[in-house]
Amino acid sequence: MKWFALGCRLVLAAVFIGAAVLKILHPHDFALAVFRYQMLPYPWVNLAALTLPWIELLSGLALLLVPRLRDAAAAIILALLLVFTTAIAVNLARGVSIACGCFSVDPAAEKMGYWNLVRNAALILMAAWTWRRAARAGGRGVTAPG
Amino acid sequence: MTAGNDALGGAAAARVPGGAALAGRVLLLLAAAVACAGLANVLRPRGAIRWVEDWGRYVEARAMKAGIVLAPLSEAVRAAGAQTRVLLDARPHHDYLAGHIPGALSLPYDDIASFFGPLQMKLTRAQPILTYCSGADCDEALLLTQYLARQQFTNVVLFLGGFAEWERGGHPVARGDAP
Repeated sequence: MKWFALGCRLVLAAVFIGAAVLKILHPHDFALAVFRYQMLPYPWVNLAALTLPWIELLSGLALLLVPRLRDAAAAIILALLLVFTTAIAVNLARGVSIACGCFSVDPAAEKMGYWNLVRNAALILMAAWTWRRAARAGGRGVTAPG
Repeated sequence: MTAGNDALGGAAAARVPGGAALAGRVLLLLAAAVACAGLANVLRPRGAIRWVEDWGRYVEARAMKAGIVLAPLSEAVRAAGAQTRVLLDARPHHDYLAGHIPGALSLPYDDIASFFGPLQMKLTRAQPILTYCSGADCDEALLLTQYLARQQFTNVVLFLGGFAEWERGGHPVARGDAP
């Protein structure tokens, strides 16, 4: 179980750190990807595009490297995955054909499809399990002795 | 980060329930992310991007809001090559004469009253049509697409990249009055 937990953390951290880097380097391209989802009021698009990748990056790093923050990082990653998955599902239901913007900010990248939902469902299960496990350990970790 | 968490979690968490301590750690991570985002944006070598921008001014935003189907370059290439759609050039007629996508017909939005009548005879309402103008920032093709929708044309898509993207892609250009 310990190795499985480590594997989940490694996968989630790799996914979120990997996803964040290009978005941080090309914020306006990522803003365009966010805009194309048509989920946010327009004035919020840049705000989301500037902050989301850093939330992804720090959560990924914390999940991997900072045991005391592991439960918080897992909770944030779980929440982000739920939001991202909802956004993808809504746009697939609308019939909108856009690039996912998950790991690439190139608008000409492969269009998203139901595969993205399957992948995210797997990641959500991993994040939920990691959060639950980390929350138990985290609760003990932050309680002062005595 | 660990030290910060220790400060947050060590003394305080003994007095607060687990949920509140978790919320504190979540807020700590989010605050750190916002601070990093702000710093990175200020230090960006190519200049900061605006935190708040009105995307509604972009043609693409207006098109998406209007429910117009956007066509990528590949569809314009297919339309020009296999004639799967009638291509309508919405730029001023002198721009059309200077260079246009091969096979495209000129229907300048700024003189639509003169050009639409004769062209209308050649089109059916269900005709697959692709409109374009000079690039992603011009709005003549958008306005033409909306005009055609009002005229009951049911299968019109907008090639947002327009003539600029066509030329950038190295595709052939026709000149003069002939399509």
